[in-house]
Amino acid sequence: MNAGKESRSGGFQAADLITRRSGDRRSFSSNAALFLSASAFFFLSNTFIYADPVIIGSKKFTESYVLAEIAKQSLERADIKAEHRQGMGGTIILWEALRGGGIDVYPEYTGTIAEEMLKRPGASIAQLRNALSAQGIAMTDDLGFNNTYALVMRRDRSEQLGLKTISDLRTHRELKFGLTHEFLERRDGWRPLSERYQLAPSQVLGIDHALGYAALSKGEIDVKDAYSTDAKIGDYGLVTLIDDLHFFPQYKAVFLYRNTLASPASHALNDLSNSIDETRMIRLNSQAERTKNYAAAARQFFGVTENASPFVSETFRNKLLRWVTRHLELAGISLLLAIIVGLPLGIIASRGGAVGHTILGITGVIQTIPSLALLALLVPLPFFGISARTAIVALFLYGLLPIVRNTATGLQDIPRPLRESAIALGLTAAQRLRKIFLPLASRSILAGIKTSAVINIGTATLAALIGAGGLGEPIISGLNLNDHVTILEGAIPAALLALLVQFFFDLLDRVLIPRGLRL
Amino acid sequence: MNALVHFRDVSKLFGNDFALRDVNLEVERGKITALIGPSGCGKSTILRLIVGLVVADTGEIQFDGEQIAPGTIMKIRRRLGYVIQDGGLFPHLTALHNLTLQPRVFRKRRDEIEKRIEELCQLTKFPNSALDRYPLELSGGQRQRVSLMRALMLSPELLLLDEPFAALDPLVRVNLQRDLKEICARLQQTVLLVTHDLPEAAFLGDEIALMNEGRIVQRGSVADLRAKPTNEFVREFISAQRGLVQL
Repeated sequence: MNAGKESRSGGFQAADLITRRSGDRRSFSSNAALFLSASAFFFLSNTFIYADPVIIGSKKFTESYVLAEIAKQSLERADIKAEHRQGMGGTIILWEALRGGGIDVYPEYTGTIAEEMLKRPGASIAQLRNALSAQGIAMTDDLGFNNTYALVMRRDRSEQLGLKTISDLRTHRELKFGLTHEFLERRDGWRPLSERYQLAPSQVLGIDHALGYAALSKGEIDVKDAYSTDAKIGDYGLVTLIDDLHFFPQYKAVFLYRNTLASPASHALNDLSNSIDETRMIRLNSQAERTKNYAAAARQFFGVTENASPFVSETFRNKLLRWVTRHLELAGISLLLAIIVGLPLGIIASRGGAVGHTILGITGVIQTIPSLALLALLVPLPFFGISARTAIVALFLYGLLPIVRNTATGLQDIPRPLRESAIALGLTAAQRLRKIFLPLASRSILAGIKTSAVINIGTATLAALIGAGGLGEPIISGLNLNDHVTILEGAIPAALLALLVQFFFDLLDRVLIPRGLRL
Repeated sequence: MNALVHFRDVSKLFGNDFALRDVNLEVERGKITALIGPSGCGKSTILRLIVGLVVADTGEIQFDGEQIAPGTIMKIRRRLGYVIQDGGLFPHLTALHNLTLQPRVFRKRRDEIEKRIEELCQLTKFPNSALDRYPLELSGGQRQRVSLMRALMLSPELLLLDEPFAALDPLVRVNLQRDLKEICARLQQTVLLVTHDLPEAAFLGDEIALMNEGRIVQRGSVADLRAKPTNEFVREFISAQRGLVQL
């Protein structure tokens, strides 16, 4: 069952082997070069060598996880290899990943397809199907439930104010709205809703979906958006305000899949249509949230009840080891790439002029792109998609600036008398650089590499958003499930790792910076 | 005709200002030529032109019959030794590695290098035991001795000294001046020395060229300059250098 999973990460394992094997007494630089070229090779080639399992994606909320698990198990029951990339992001990331081939299947809702993806509000199912197929995507019949948007409130608060419908909100401008960022931006979200109902609350905050429930229960916000099959509605004792003007479109759950999918796989997916009603979905969601075991919840759908699942039995130590290893792979490979590319760029930039300014300008601009946006921009590009590769490239781009800038300034700061003495000795430009200028700039260059390393360790937590794993995995699922302990399981090791890296580089300073410069 | 270096009508502009203006100069083989003059008179620029750190705007400079140009400068640099005020030693290398850097790049044999360092330590009175120290661990005088050794490693035909003792305290300076004179006499070294100190020029120089505002205003011995100054500047420069107090 796991064969597919292992082959997908084969590049990393091969890279691992090479690092271990090269721990002999050869010089650091030749090891680094060997490690890099080898890992790059494996990394690029592994996706082409192995037959891929069906990759199922999910958005970062419980129902999406559960539906994806159901799809996975349904495929596996038909003897088709499948892999689930949990919680990869929002609609755009999943949609682009599906179109780009990064994933083969994911659960979606008809309303989102019409409003967000195809920008054809009110289109019929047949029209949607046609428009999708033009993009190489097919759609199953609906799974049997409508998970539309809804506005929810605490029961006591709504009873106290006598609120039953969304129209009732109009007279209560003092209520605080805490809405998800996606809902705030959606074409069928807050803006048209507030226009339709003529709502003008005094405060509208953007807040993460899971955190919003906590804020709602503490009374920090009064109204939030929710999905109508959300398990939290029952758990927190919330009431759904009636959509009396029938604003929200239908959000029937379906699976979207690439129409290149082999027919046994598409049959297995289509067999799931009309098999889950709202009550059943709420129950599955609720169980998944309680146990944090989506696979088990999905198995319950197939009528399998069990106590010990192999996923639960993975010890914390093993999970931590897996997260940390992957985290270090992501940060390490991207850092090495940043060094290999950044050092020469820094040397060129140190000469100033138009080229130098351009290099520093471009690397500087990359740094200002928010890391989430950079990930979202890379995902739809060919060759990238939802993968560790994309995360590594994003981290590499982030790590570039400190190395380029510190190399350039380190070289520029070499005093003129030393520069001229090197010239007067009759050394060629390459000899001067290698024997004199780079060692003289070593302190500054290493400081840049250290900065990049620490940045990469921190930013690598975001890699989990696109299914690349690492310590961001527990942080993101913790955020989605509003579970602080899980968040800390990722956050604390990530912070310790950053400190450790800092410490490691402080030691490295003593080895790599010539003693004469440390006097 | 026997001169090692020829300057013919050399001018050099920095922006709109002349650093050098129609300079004609010969550096005679086996002699110490001292360039002297106030700050900014262009004396250092003459050395920098020979090393190829700057390029002349007009005129011609020949080294041993060969014109100094981008195509020839790399070869010519190997025949020069260059010492600057702070020594220009590389702080990341020990004294020894500062010395061996150039001969190793030029693939000299190891035993030859060792022998040469032995010779130079004796010649410059530099203690062998201090060779493993980094520049920052050496005194100012020791640094200049290492710098001189580095310049002499490949037995250069021309030694260029740019105010080599200016940053040293007087006692150390006098010792080094005395030792330098002895070394040059023993090696019959051709030297072009830049200084603003008339006693130093008088003590070391076989010939003095006094410069002002990018021109060579008078050549000869100190006695010549004092006895027959060609203009008011020469007279003032010579008398100013006697100092305020007659000790």
